[in-house]
Amino acid sequence: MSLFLLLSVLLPLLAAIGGGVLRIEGRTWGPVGAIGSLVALVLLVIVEALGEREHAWLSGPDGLDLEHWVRSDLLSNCLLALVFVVGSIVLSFARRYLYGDTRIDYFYRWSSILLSATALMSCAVDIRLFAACWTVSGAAVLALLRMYPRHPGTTEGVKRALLAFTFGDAALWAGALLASHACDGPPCGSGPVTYVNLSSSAISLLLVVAAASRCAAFPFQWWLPKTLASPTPTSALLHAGVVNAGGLLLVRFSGVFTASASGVVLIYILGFLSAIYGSLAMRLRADVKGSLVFSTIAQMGFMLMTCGLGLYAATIFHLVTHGMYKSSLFLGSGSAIEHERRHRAAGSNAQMSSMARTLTATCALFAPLMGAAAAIALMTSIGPEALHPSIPLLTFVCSTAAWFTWAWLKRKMSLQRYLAAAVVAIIATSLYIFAIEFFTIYLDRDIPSPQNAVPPWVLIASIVLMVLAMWATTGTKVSTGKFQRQLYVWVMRSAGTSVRGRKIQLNTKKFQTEAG
Amino acid sequence: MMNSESIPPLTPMMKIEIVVSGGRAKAVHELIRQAGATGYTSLSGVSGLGHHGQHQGQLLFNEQENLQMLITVVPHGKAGPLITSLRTLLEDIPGVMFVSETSVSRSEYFT
Amino acid sequence: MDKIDSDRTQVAEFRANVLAVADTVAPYWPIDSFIAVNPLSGFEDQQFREAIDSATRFYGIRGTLRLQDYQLLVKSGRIKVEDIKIELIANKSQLKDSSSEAVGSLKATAIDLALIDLLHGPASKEPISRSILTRSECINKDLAVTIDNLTSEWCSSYYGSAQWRNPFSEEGFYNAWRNTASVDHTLPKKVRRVIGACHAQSDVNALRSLEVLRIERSEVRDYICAVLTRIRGWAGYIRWASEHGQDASLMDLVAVWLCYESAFVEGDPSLETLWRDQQHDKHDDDSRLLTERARAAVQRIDPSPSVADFNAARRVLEEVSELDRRYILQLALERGYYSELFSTLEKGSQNAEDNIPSAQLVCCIDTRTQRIRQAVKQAAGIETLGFAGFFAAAIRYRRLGEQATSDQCPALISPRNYVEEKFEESTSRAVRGRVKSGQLTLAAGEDGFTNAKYSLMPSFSLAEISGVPAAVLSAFKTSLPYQYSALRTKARNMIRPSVPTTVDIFSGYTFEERCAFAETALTMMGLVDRFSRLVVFTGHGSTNENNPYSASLHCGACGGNEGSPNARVAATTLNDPAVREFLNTRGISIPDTTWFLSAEHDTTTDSVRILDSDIAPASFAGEIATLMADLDVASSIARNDRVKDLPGASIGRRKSPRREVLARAHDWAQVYPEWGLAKNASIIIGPPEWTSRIDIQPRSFVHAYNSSLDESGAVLENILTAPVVVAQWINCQYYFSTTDPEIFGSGTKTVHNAIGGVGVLSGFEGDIRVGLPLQSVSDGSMNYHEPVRLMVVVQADLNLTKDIVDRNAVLKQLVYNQWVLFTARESCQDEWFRLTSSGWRPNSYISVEGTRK
Repeated sequence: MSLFLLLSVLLPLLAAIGGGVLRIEGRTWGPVGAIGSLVALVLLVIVEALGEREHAWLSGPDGLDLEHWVRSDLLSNCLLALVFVVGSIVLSFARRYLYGDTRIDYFYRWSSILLSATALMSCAVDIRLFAACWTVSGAAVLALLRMYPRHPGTTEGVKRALLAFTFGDAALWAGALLASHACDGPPCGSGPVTYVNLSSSAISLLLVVAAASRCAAFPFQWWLPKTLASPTPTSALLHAGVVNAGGLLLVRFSGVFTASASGVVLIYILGFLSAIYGSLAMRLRADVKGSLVFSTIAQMGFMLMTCGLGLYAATIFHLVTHGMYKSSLFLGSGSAIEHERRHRAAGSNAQMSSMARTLTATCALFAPLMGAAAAIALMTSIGPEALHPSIPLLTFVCSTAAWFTWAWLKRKMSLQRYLAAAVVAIIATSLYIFAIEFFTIYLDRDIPSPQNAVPPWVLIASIVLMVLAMWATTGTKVSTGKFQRQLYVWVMRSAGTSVRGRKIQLNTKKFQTEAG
Repeated sequence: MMNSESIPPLTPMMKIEIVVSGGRAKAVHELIRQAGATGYTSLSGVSGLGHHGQHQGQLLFNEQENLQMLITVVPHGKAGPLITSLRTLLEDIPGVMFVSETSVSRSEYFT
Repeated sequence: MDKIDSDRTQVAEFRANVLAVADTVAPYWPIDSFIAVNPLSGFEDQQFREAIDSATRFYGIRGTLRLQDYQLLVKSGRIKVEDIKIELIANKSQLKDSSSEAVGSLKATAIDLALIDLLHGPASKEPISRSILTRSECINKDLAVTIDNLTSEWCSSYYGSAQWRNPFSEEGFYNAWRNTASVDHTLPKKVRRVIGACHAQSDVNALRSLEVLRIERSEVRDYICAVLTRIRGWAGYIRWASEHGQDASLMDLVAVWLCYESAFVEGDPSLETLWRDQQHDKHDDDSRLLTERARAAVQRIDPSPSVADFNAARRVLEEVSELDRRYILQLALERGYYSELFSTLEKGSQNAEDNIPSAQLVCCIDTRTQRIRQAVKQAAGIETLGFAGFFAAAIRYRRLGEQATSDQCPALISPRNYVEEKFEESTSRAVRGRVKSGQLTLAAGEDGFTNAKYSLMPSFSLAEISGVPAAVLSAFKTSLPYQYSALRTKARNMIRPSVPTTVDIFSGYTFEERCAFAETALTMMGLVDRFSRLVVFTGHGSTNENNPYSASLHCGACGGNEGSPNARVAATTLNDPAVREFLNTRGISIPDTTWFLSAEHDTTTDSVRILDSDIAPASFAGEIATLMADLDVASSIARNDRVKDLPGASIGRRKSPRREVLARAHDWAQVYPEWGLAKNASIIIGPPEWTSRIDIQPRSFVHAYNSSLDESGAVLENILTAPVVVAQWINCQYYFSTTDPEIFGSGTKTVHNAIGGVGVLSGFEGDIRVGLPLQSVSDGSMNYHEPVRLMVVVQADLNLTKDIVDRNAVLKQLVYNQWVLFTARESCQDEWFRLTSSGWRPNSYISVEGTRK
């Protein structure tokens, strides 16, 4: 770990301090800090790739041993790329988007602190430093959520985030202190550690609680939706960066976290519940940002599931790509009206006969399966050791390709169009498989294999449940059944405005007697 | 003079005519529908002179200001509530209502 | 039996009551066809000032700027002290009576004292709040907010277009709600039980709720208003929907709200007592403020005043209430603008031009066309005339290959003809096929993405697949917006080539209709002789990205759409020889040497694009080329002028105005693509020879009207009842969005959360927001829009004009209740007169000394 890395990671923070001291507008220094970090890190990667690690100016001064605290490895590089790519985009976007806003400097100050804290957290290998960055970034988020103190939704949003963060931070700090107490020598990195049994499951569970709270996963799904009272760039940062910290925590300290099977099982269950609940609510909400929020909850759930399965490469891959995906969806959320207009202009599909439906659906399913089969065959021919346990995750990419092809063919079915779709689906599926395989091999150097993991067959069972849930909410006749109607009301109200959280009890005594 | 025997049997009904501006006609439609009337007839672009002075008939580019006349026929049982509701509505907005006895030959059309 | 009858009558009466007060909330057009409305349209039967007063009771609005804002405007010189004095004397005659005497022993008259109070007095610190409240508001504010949120959430799930369709929706708004809310696990058991026992008819149930809430008969109307104004967004939307043939009723909405309220507060002991003295005693606050004001004013004259002087001053200031102060300053602000306007109008003397200009541009009356009109006149001597941007073609329009239609006409009328965009006849089969399949491909691709994005399993891998490309595109869009957009257009054109099209007027209109339309349009425009070689109908639209309020920047006369289809319809019709032959028989002879063109003015970039120039006869090619060149010059003049006002524009050596506006128009991060109709303040109706000679600021709508061609006043009547009414809607929309940005404006754009096809929320929950966003009227630190009531300026026969106003209820209200100010003169040589409820009066906005700056 070099001083140079540390400096570039802290550049946004330094820019914020400099800007504050010199009284320069946030519009000027804000984007500079983020983009500067990105450029510096790219340079660093190039220099390192050239094998010139030993340059004196790159390492710290003598006697300053940073290695135990922070480390630059492949995992941190991935995360830094996410933080600063999204950070640069969002902070440049905000230059125009928040122009004239009386709180623009406030936004830049706290978002720069947030970026630096998150970036430093990505490099932290000491769990105490990690926890410190975690708390600072949480505080920065709370500050960002308070950007418009007079907005009617702000108070509740901040209150809920504060509550969730308090739980999570308390759990993390307890886990961190216990963990660093339990292992001697250099504070626990990600290497496998052995503890006394009792504390190992306690620590593992504490980390799970911390991760779930930051990821807005079950049972902490209630804080994220109410954060929408802050401006779009804040949402973009929050959904792209902050919520991912939970995944990072579990992967970085997987040695600690997987020491106990109960923690692993718990995170899988929480992830699965969040994935289902978030997806249902995403489909139900008519407002674009509300829909995106619940989509994030679902995606975080999926990420935690991969974590529980011990597929850390998939976790990191999902975390990074989803961050980029969601931030751009948030920034572009103003186009929802135009999308809806275009959708109406394009009109609905022509009615299909049931025969045509079946045919189209079969075709749609066939293409991605072929792609997956081809890719697996190719890899097996290279050698069975190339086959990674992440193969069951291919179901998801196949479903995406099939779903896409289905919608594509529904407009008009023809051989030509099918072939076009099939070629794209096959290429996309196999490319994706290669990408994730490559990513796995690349990352595995830095992440040890898990001591405990949920067996892959559980994933298959989960997938079956997901398919059922999907079926229950589509626009077909099924969706008007009794169970679906109850499910609809339950999701709508659980994901909707809150009644119980507010002090609306008028006359408590009276209520109690009436209810009793 | 027609001989009463020569008139085929007719059913007595109430006829209600309302004149309001085009922008308000929708409210009247709603009241008529909710009173259980089976239909109404509307004439647009009527003009005249009244309580509020001269009323222009047809404006080219402002349909909301054009006066409309709505005519509906209901059985006596339904007339009471409808008249009350129309009267309440007309307390606030400019317009007139005429109520008269009428007869129809095919009463099933109106009930 | 009697009981049932009386119940039925009571219910019917209640229904009528709801309908009668429905216009307390203005209708809300869905945001994709944003139509400006006066949020106080239901109060137009009152004088402007009284309307503000009564609207304050319902909405808690201010209705004017804040006192501090006016005082800042005085400091900056925007409001002149002498104007304040004039308005003070005119509005507070009781002060004037004692104007010569000093107050107490002070060296100041009552007027002086009041003036000092207006200029330097402290503002009220109490927030303005409404006084007509619902029971739940009196009992617990949070409860009322919760009910609003619950109701709004139901509306959004019923009217929104989510992927998971509401499985109850077929049962109708009210019954579907009943079935949902009665099993809502988040509600307290007691509330659920009450909802479960609801009557199946919304009106009956609403009446029951009112009984539970102890609402007396005389109170019912106010109470319904109190409910409607709490959820004005959805109430407005439902009002719009019910007036546009959809199945929606305010009664259902009111019933839902009341049912929640009664279920929550039923049996609360405070119901019997608490609300009876709900009127919070404001007297203390008022009296404290008055003391502060008197002290501040007196101390400016005499640093150590006696008690008697102080009391005398207090008595004087008591005459000027809190609203009076702001209202007088508002009048002074208006006076400043009106005086400026009339001194400009004075300058232009009219002498008819005999030589026919090389081209005539018919532009929309929209204030934004003013710059380009001035520029084109200056640069090329081209004559322009203003007319409502739909060019009298009220059409329902379908774009090539699209399935949905748009209503391209002002909100005051419904479309009369259906027009489709079609391939040009010469288009080959192959090209048609390519366009069609390209369109299908684009739609299918978007379908695929949306489908996967909103599905349970596919969404996970979709995020992974599209993550990196999304980041690359976002970076590209943010750093090089225009280049990105150009590339995207190029890519789209590769899939779906853009081909020449025509608008099919022949199947949409019968021949008679076409003739009638042509005659009406030309007569209304006053364009019946002196045809130039080229007559260009110039519609307008706006280019902007990622902006829910896009429709508010398009042409209002075309129902929030681009105006080019209407322009094409008008031009195509008038180029038809058969139509011209008919017009000839009606005394309008269009020479064969005249060709009608259509064009589109992009108000964000100020470029003007000629449409369909390829179908013009070859003999016009030279002129069209010259015209295009002239328009380019005019565009850049207009642009250079306009760009100075754009917030955050960085024009320098490296960035030309053209590049600045292009980047702005395609920038997804831009919240100020253009200023829209901000600063609008007047409408000028007069001959184009006059209006084109004077330097009219882009604050005026300008409509061509030639009284000598309109002896019966039919044309003027149509202008006053349509364009003037629409201009007033726009004016009031801007006015109240500026004075009350949180109540009648939609607040800052940065927290907007769009519901497709409906509108926007601010944040996660609550009502949909009405009005214009903050970024349409203010640059954050200062209001860009100056709230000034519309000044209507007409050059026409005075008696005829007054007759027209008097025989149209809408005009009578607007003019005599001072929602607009109305001035006219008969000709250039005559004096201006102002129309008031007591007839024509000399126009007081011309200062005696003559010209002002």
